[in-house]
Amino acid sequence: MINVTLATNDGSGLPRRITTEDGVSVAEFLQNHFGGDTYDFTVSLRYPNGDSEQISNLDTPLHDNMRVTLSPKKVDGAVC
Amino acid sequence: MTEKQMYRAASAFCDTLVRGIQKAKDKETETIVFYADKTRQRLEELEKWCRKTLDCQRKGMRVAEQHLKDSMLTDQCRRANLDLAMVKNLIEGKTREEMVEPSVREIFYEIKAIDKFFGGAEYRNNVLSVKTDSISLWGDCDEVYLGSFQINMDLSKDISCGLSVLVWIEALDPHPAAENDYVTHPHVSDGVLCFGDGDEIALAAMYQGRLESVFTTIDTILHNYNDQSPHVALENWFGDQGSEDERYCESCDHWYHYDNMDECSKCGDWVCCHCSVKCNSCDEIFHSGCAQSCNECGGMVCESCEKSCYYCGGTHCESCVKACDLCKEEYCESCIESCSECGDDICDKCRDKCEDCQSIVCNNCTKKCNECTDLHLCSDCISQCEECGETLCKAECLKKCGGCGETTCGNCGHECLLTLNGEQDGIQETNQI
Repeated sequence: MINVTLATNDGSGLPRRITTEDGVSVAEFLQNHFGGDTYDFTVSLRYPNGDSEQISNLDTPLHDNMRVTLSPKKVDGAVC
Repeated sequence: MTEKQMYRAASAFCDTLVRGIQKAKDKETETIVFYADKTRQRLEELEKWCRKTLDCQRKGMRVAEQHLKDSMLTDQCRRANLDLAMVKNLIEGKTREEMVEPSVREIFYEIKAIDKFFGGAEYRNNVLSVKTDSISLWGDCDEVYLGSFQINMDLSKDISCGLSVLVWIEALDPHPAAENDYVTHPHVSDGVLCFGDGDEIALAAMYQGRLESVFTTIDTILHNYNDQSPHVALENWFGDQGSEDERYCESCDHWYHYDNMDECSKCGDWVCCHCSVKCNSCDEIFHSGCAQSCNECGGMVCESCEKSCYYCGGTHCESCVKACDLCKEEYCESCIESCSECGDDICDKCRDKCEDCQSIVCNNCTKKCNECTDLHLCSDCISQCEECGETLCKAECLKKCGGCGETTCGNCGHECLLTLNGEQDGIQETNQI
């Protein structure tokens, strides 16, 4: 089993540390733990060595101490 | 940006974050009130969309109803749930527990990720800066080029002052709004970005030390246009002057790129995609004021293609008028009918109604009885006497024998052999048809 952090930039704020099976795909991981449609979000990964990347292929496998971040593709600004 | 600079920046931000988190913990009750109020606003918004959905349901607008359920209602429910969960977490102290002060190494990774995402970052005088790519935003039907921007964040300032104090935006290739040079982006005025929906997202990420999310959120805001709340709307970006590529639409009082405009085929003025109409008949583009709507189909029709009904005088497009096959005048579909005999289109003047069966017949197909000459009849209601050959109406002037079935007029009389010989009992002498 591995520990993966899921951070969602939708205002809920708090990243969750989730225990899951080693090698599980990002798609499956999000299906089980995000509980919503990820179409409106960009997905980025942070590796244990600090490297990061935005991914479009959700079949990418997850390993221990990785972080998955979901960021909305559209955020409305306003007038202050 | 070198790794050494990244460590210096990470170290500076770490100190700021520790102080900020301590202040936030002190202001916890205020935060609970803030999120409780936010939850209330979310629920009010949810109620508003529920009512709109109900309206759609009542009007039988199934597609719109489903769309609202799938998008707005689901989204508002999710947001309200998140805010409520935040209130619960704050009350139970979970948020405080999770406001873990990140290590310098973690912040270093964040800055490294920012450097990679934006293709380079700078750190000078406690300020971390990145450059966006060139940004163009789409307004109503026009694209406005705004150039690239530099996002600056002072890593030494107190987080609790709010993001608008920590972050400022510089236009590197300024294309400000005509009416206000300080507005370089619909959501940036005098370097201050109004975060809107991004405020909550960026602030939450900030308190967790997720600097990359803060910068990418700002980048997303800059790449989007919220037409509900801009400093200057993109439609008015070029003010009254317009740029070289802009044309002015007098109908809506806005400037648009000429790619999205047409010249009115009647008056020659420029007209935008919102105010233009296409003639149903010739497909030319006009101002809505330079064309009329067809009384029959509601489509637009220009002056040259417009047809007027000879009977009712209404304005119609070509496809909604027909010429009467007898008098050749043009009539709208409501004022013309088909002859039940020959199928020709006939106007009110050129048609009659059979006075027996009431069917519509054209003047060519209408028949008259030779006995009662004032009656206009269709061919089904008129026949010939089988004895003398006179054309007479079936209703009054012709009689059919109940025995042999012969049709004769009153003048000729009829003596049926079958009846006279009494071969068939009970047969009447003559039967009216």
